[in-house]
Amino acid sequence: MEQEIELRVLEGDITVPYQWTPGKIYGRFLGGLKNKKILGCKCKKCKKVFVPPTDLCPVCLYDFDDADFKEVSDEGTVNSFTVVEIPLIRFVEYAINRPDPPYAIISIKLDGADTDLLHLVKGDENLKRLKVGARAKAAWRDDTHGLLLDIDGFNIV
Amino acid sequence: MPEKVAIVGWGQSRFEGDKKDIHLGELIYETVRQALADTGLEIGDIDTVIGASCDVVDGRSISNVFTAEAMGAFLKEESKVEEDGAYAALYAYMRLLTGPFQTAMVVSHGKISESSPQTYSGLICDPFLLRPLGIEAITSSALQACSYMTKYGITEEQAAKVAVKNRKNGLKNLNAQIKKEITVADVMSSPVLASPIKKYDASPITDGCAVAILATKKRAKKITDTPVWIKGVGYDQGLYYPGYSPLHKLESCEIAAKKAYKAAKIKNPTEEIDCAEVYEPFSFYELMLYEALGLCGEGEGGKLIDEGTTEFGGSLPVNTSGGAMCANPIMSTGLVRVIETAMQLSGKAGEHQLKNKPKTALAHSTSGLCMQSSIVYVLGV
Amino acid sequence: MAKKVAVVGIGMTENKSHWDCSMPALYRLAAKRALADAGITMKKVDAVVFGHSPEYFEGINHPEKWVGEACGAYHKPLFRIHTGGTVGGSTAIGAYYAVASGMFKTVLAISGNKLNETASAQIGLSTVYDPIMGRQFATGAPSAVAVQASRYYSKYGYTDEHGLKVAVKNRNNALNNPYAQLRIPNYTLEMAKRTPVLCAPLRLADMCPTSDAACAMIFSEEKRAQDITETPAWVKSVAAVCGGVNYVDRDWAVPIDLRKAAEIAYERAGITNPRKEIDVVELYDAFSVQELIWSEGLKLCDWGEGGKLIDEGVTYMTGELPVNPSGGVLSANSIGAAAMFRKAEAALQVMGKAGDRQVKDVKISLGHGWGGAIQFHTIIIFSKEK
Repeated sequence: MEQEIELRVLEGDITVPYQWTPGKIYGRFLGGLKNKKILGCKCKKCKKVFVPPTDLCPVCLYDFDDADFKEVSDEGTVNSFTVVEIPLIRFVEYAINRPDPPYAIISIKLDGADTDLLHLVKGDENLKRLKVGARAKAAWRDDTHGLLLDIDGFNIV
Repeated sequence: MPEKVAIVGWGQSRFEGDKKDIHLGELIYETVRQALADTGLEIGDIDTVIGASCDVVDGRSISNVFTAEAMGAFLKEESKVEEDGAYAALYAYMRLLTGPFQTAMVVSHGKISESSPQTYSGLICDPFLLRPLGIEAITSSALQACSYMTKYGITEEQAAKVAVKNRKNGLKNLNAQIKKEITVADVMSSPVLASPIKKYDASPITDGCAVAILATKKRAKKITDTPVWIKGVGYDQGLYYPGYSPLHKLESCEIAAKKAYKAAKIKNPTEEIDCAEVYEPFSFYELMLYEALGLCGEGEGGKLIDEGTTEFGGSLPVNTSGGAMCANPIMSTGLVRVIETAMQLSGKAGEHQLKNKPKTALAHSTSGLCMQSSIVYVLGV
Repeated sequence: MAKKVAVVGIGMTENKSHWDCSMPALYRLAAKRALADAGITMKKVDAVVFGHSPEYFEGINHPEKWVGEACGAYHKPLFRIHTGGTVGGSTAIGAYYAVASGMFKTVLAISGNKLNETASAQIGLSTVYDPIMGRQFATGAPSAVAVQASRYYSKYGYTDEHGLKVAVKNRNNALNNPYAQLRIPNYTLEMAKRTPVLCAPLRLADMCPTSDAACAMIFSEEKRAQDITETPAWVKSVAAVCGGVNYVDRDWAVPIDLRKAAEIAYERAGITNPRKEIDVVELYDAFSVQELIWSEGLKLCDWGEGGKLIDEGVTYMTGELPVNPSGGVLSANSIGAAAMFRKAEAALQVMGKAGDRQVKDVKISLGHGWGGAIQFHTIIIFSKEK
């Protein structure tokens, strides 16, 4: 009997809805964004200010608490960047205001922080002036929801 | 580390961008058969099997459920490492050091074309801080490239030379997926993906499977005349959030290399290492790895490629197989680095065999965004 | 040759909906409790072995990258293991080999899941099935185990009451376990029988709950173990055996893979009569009937006699060989941590630190785990004596 392969590829996807728990530290950081404030956590041991904070200082294994939060500036210095020229991923449905290329992802040290925050730079004018060492300031959205993208992006100053 | 465990045989599937003609199970089975044939062993001679695969690559929860039988693991002592095969090899190595096992088979596989590298790497991002930005492998690596190049004045042309060198090496490798010589000008004029990374700075999308068979000293010598000994292994995991670590260097790799050298009693890697296979998903990473592995001084990665030291005919050839630039099978690519190193050391590299037979060589693999985790092997004959 | 290895510290989180903490914070809690139990800091820990079940449960690929540092893995080797439901057992076994090989002196094993992050863990479990052959009729884990249960009951003439009796026994045991999720006072067979059939012959009472939890165990080599604690749980043997899904003569009621694992584990531990020599067993009873089937696989009785164990009261707290004093997986199932809880509970029993669920005079204990499509089994045997 002659054999034929009818099916070359079975198309399909896996859709799973999630409800991620931010917990105390991520939750408070995101809550700060809703109020247009950028909060970090200062480690009692190494004294470093982590912006954004995670549950603990991963180096000293010091667990952050409410008393360790500290507001930092929404302006800082760009330490690294990449200009994205092609569409890469589109699976993040809640990233409603993520732009079409070209846009930049930046690593920025905010004034008062000891770590870099990763965020976006958008717009031709901003992209033209973007370089390592540039100063940039958060551009807040009018409507904030307690999400990272309550900051629409960073404007080069 | 004394000579206790050796790599005695291996199999590599043909690496292709889209293996539509073959089911995952068949791909694994063929490669396992190839590795067994390479050693002359039967499946019954294998005491333990360690798999390496990933749910997200395969689109299957618990990715080894339906592949374990193809791996030859049926009714064997088996486990699975959800990492590259190079990490699974370390687990196999640890098992062989404990006594009950004389032989171990490491099987790594992935058909990333059934998913996508961007989904795979993008889902590594946490839901709160990274995922909203759409960060994945290319963009996180590009941030490192920008930081590294700015810090040390490395140029895009120097990174491009890595892509040119490795693609040239790949021409001689039967297993390579990409077999096309390119020039620095080709790389520079290829489309930008995420600056400074351009199309030809990036590794291809590759489906494939790799298998390595390890054995204890006593058994190794019965299986092959050319055992390749594991002289030292170093492994380290760094920080997760890219903004917490200096992006211009590969901290976890530096620490892993130091541990591996210490175990292998290597004091001066540039003198004592004869060749290396490193995992360079993007061209500039190879320059950063030269530094992290101590093959040159800080900030001298560009100089090393300019001087031709790491070319096929150089004094310290790196990625004679063509590296990930010529085939990057996710979940197997690190084990391929280990296998290729073993091929050079045992004199079985065929067309791409180095002329003056190397005695001590290094293999490197990594996982996570920004090379968060690294493993380094020193192998020897 | 293998170094002698002991468990010297155990940390558990409560099994419940942890709405108040992130996934890293959940792991952190278990790790901290294990370190506190051992009275050491991460400085003394040389490596971390990290367990976590299907990535689709939380939608995080390679969760060890994000969560690892909360386990104290900053610039340490961190190994990731993933074998489905038995991952907690595979992770503990990974940590055992890491120490037994002589590569590391002290290793933290940690495993968990936050099943409440997903709308349904059954989506993650249905995608276990092969996408080309099988996923079309997959309905999560219950459908597979219902097939297993039907086969077992009909093969040996047992009824669903045998399974329900296990459920009642274990849920009553859970009242003694502060970490268990289902702690229902005065739970009776009548109550269990009134629960609805979800996937015949399995009723709601036959099934495990959905939990968030993490569990951590610290493994140490001989000398350090003795420095750290006066009550180490010595590892006598470990085994992890893989079965198959599609082999031609597969009988779902006869777990030959578990039997193979048990034979390996007993041989290495020098155990010839497990029913007599083992004092307490913690096994992976995600569904009630499985306790009976696994008991046979573990050679606690002959093939086909699992139902008699529960009928004769052998496995009750007051019986000859108590099984699942903690309440088992039927009372708490985070999947990622569940198999490690079995190992940790078994270790606590030989340490004499199992609190209200302690069985008297335990010298040898066994912890079991099950995962995959009913084909991955893990076993660790602990001993009070070195």
